Amino acid sequence: MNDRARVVVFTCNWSGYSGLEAAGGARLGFPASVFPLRVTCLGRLSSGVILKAFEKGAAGVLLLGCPPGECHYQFGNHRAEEVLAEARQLAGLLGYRREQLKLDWVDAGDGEAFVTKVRDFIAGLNGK
Amino acid sequence: MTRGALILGGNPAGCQAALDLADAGIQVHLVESAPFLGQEDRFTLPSRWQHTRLLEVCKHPNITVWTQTHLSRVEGEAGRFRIELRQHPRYVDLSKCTACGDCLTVCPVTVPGTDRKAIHLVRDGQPGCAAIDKIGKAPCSNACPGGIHVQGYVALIAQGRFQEAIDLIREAIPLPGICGRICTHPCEVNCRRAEVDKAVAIRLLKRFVADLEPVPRQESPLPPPNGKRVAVVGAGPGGITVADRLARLGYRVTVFEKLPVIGGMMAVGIPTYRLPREVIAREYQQIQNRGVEIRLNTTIGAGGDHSLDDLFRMGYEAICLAIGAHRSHTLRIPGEELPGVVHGIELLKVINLSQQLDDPQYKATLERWLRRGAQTRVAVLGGGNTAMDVSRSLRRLGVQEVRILYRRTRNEMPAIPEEVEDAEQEGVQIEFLVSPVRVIGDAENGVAALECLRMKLGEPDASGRRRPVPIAGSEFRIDLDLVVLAIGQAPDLEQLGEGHGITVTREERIHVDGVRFMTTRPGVFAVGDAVTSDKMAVIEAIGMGKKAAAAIDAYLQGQPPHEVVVDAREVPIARRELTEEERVPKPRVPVPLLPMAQRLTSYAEVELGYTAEQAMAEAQRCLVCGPCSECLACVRACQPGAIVHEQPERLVDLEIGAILCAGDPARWGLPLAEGRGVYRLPPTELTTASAVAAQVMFDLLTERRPLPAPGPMISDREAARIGVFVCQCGGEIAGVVDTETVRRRVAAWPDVVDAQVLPFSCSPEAAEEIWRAVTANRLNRVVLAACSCCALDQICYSCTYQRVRCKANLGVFPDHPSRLMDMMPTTGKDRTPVLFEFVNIREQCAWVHADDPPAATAKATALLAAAIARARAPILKAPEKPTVDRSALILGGGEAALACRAALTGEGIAVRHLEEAPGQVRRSGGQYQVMAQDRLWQASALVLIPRDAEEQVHLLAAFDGNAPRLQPDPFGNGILTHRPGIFYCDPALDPATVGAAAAAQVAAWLGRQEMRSPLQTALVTPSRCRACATCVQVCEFGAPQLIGEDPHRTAWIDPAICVGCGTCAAHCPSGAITVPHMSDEHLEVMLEQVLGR
Repeated sequence: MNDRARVVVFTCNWSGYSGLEAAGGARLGFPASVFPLRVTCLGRLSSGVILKAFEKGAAGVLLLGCPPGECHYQFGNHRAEEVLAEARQLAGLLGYRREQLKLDWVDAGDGEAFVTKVRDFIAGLNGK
Repeated sequence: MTRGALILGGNPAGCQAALDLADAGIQVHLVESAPFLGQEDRFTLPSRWQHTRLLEVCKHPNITVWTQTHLSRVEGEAGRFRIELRQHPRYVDLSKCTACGDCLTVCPVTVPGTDRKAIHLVRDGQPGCAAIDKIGKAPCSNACPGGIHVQGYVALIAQGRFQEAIDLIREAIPLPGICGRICTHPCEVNCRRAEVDKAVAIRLLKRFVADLEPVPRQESPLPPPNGKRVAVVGAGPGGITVADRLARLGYRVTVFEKLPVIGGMMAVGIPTYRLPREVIAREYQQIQNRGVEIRLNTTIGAGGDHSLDDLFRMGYEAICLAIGAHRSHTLRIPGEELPGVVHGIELLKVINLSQQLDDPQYKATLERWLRRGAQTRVAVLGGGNTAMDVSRSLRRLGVQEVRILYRRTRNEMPAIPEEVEDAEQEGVQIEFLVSPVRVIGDAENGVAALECLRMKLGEPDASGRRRPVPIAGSEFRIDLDLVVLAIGQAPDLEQLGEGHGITVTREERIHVDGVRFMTTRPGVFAVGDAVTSDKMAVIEAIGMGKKAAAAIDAYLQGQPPHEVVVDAREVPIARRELTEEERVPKPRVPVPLLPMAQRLTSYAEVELGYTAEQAMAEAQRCLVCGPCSECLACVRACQPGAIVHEQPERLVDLEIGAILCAGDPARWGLPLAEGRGVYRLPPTELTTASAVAAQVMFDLLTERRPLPAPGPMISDREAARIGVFVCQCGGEIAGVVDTETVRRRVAAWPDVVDAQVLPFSCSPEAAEEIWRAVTANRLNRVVLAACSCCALDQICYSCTYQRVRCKANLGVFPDHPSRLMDMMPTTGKDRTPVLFEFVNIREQCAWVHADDPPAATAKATALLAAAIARARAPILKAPEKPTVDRSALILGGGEAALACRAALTGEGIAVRHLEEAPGQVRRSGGQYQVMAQDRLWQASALVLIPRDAEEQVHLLAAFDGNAPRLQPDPFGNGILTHRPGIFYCDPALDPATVGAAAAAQVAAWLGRQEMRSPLQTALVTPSRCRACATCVQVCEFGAPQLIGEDPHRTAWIDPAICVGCGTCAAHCPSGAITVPHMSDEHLEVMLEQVLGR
């Protein structure tokens, strides 16, 4: 994968997005090819939406939400896990690699974790 | 206005009670003595929740937050208290501060005993704007008649910021180098360091920075000339200050000086060893560079070069007399008329002019007076600075016997102590408690001797000094050649001649109107020693000159004089307890002096001044009394212009129904006895806070008003007319993202009618501008690229005060007279609906890609494209909002149930109470329902009140049908569960408290329903629904329900329960469910834009 290939990071409104904000506040950077998109909760994402990202050309899709047990809506991240399993299967059938789709979490306000997880995801895409 | 509740203490309990009451429809005034809420008593909640909780307090339409506020008066009784609040200024405008922190970087003051600056922000504190720690004016700054921010320049010097220091001084006075040498330094007299060891050497610090700048840097340009001319008579400090100030305002000013030199008394009365003439020349040159013309050797008056009438005829529209006091007082003792009795001021003038001018007459006069040359025996009468100057000058002329005779003691001497000390070191003898009786001698030979009396000190006189009383029979005689009178001067009014039309007082001073500085002749003003009999120091003359200049300006601009305010703030003088560390002595840095051997042989300056290192070390002795030093560095650094150092204190009268004191009542300094209408609550006990709130809801039931409903949505029939606004956030965005390029690209896109760049989109001015554009261009969609991230009425972990302010300014929240602050824009209040979209390009672009501006700019454009695509997507019609049924069903019993039931009834909520454990609880038709005793029990909210652990298991089991088990919320204070609308009373807590607290939560939850935006509720399209019940299974809150009968069975989302997470929409297999603010279509167009396809 080249560095210009675009990556979509879906964040939830809560811990995931506040990790991104904190990264900005601390002026921690990540490649500009990474496009975060904010949804209320990762539970909002269906496998259709995730596959749509691939269809529109995303080289990878990373979902960053709240830590286990801290979902703002209690159950959203469990539902996201279920959706992810389904999306993975479908993406696999379509020829996408396992590393191209990942669900993870960050603590609220943890900018460093956000940046690390994004960078690690990109490194994984590049097979490093 | 309704009578609301006053809550004292912005601690967790105070905030909890405030939110409960406000949600329930009660107006709340939340008072906190600190600048930020939630700082003293920490929340037991995780910090992300403390953050949202505090921000919700600030945002709530029913809460007015009063920070830095004290209770100054309480009158009346329960139900109708009359309260007066006194709010200390924050000195930062809450409508403008962006919390960028630039001010913190430049602030030179660290508050003693802390590690924060005098201007500061706190983490997790609200309002999230800076606050200045300024308890009052520093004693030094307060004492300065010239209005210099003294502590300010000392603080800047302490940091080595010399240019800023001199700029700050020059802003206040035109003669810093002169004041740095001869100022009587009232600042040092009032310096609190003297309580520990010795005052900070402030005068020497000023001298240091003034000398560093022999050629001043480019000044800010003067305003264009206003065509008016003013004449100033006298080029001393008062006159030249008037001239300088008026020139800076655009006047053309001419100064007429009788003497052949500039500087007035400073040039002829002060010896060069104290004030080198180059310093005078340098500072006057700068004033002349501003366009002030000085004409020497020009006498004004009937007998002089021009009369006052002449000046008016010459086109001067105002005249300011600054003629000083050059006529010496006499002693009125026999022999005073003898040759050999001279006036000190005359002697100094002759000595000084003999050095400055190439005119033999001055040397000749001097030789005549000092008839025995170095052997001349001289007595100087007086104890002021003139006496010291004469004596020390004479010593430099080689005169060996110079003695000062003074009627009182050293303590009463008006001269500056260091001058007295220097005089003595230079061999001047000072005799105290001696008063002259007569001068002995004859007209031919002049003075032979002086007869004197010994004195003692008696009672204090009018000046407060102890009056000298002669000791009978103590006469003695001193043989002398020259007697110098240095006992004060008066103005020489004779020069004005006859018919000047100016009233002179009994004290031989020009009479002026105290505010206007105008004499009895219109257009003629007077300042300085000419108008006051208190001998003026240079800095006092400068101070008066500033005021007079303002008065002359007002006169010439036709403004009423009472509006002339130079510095009329009534601010307290800062006085705080010194810390242990501050009480440790730190000796004053001694100033290098000219060696004694060189002093008496020349007129070279005695004080040599500090080096940079010495100046910084000396400035670091400052005790930062303010603690804010008013150096104004923050003002210069603040791009949005949010700093208001002149902000006044505010007094507010309120009518209040109930008072809740959260925390120690002693803090409020008023006798607040608990009783009718006055409640106490421990600062961190949230359950108690809610229980008290329940009681207050009952007290103020008649004051309850429903919360404002959200405004109407835009019509889905209108074609999109989009306005795009790109925020620069000062340099925070524009420093990285090229906002103009973004604007230009966006402006060309379809449906974009207007595109603008805004300096600060969270300011009221920006909101005004946006609404102007909406009206002018008939916009129905506004996309703002700034730091705000959503258009929802919701506070997330990363939300900020500024984002809330921005949205409130624009009217995004339910339409209400916002209480966030007092200065909401007025436009857009009666507006047509507009769809708002926000996109964060600050954290998401400028900050994370600060190292790659082109990439940040491209990304900002892409994110904006996504937001615009969203704005162009079809508008989904939100469901109608059902009316809220104010009812609650209690399941359980015991004392807590009785308390809860009573409280709910008191809040005007219909109560149903079922004591037996129900078989099954379900949600249907917007109600929780239970079948028991052969009938249906139902209500909007549910309160579970188990009497013990066993009953708790039963009650929670009643929800087993909907996985997983209902759980009390671990952060719910024993009242909340995870499920919306279901409350609980922990049997382990005090039953009366927990019962009432649960009732308060029910009232708050029902109240919040009024304000909820339908955009956040999932929406079912019945024609696409297959009633498969997937949604019912994925939502653990129970919001989706199946309604109707087959074949018309369909899903329905209960708006009271739906939290807007959108999980049901993601799982709906037929695509029948969507979320109006984030539909699949929204997600798709956004993906398309950011991925470039």
